[in-house]
Amino acid sequence: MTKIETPEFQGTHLWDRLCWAKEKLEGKQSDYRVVWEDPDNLDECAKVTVPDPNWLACALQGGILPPVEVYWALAEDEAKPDFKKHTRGYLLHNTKPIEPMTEEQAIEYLIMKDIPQRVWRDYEKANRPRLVICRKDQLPSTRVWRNAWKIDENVNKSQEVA
Amino acid sequence: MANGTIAFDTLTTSDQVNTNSEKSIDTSYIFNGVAKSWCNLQGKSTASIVDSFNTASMTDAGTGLYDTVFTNNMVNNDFCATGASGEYVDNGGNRSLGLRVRATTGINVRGFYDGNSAADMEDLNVATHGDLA
Repeated sequence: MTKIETPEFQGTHLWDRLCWAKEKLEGKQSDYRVVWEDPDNLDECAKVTVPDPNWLACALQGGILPPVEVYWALAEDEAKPDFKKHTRGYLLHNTKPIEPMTEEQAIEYLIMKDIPQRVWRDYEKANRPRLVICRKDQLPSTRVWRNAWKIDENVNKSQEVA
Repeated sequence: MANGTIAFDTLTTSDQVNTNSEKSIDTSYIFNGVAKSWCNLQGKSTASIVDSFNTASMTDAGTGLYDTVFTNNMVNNDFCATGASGEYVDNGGNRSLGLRVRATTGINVRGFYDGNSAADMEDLNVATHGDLA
């Protein structure tokens, strides 16, 4: 199958790039899931983040998505007390898009984009696992007691992670 | 865009087939009116995204709780979020969808079954209209 060339997208509105990708790229369902617990809300159950198939296709294609640091910059703007609306949206559109990623790299990018930093920063130093990347068949097969799901503390030894 | 651009400000149709009276619309109306994101989720068993636009991920946050994140943020929190939920095969009961959190980065929703109880939804759909960052 011929690989589709990504146009030079730096300076093109990100939303327009997504329109191009929706038309040209086949979505890819990932077998990976990110299971995480929020250290600021320990009573909450484990959450499971799923990559979007069209987003993943963009990540694998390359030249479409902005670097993750752009999202952090927008989050910093929004955290300011006088924030009313984004005035640096151009960062999404004008920053040089990132090169093609592997699926594993895309999952790591997604963690840094869509999961709070307090969860993934220094997660390996926590005294119990709070973030695990797993295959979807490692999740419980039924949703009975879904609100009681926690990451298995022996996650490295067990088949199921929650 | 490198693969071709047609730039114009107004779309006009003679509407000969229906009314035979010319109609025009400013293209900015079209851009302002289209959905800026949409997402169709399957929220039972291992939750997943069926199809979408301008969605980066979905987080299954507990029974009936689903958080979607945009790829292109919205400019502020004043956008309009809409949604509907149900089952692939109607087996009775009433389902609804509540908006929990609206942020420039995404929306969080909760599915309900027959009133007050949060419930996993097999067929869950959300869309947003408004201004992009």
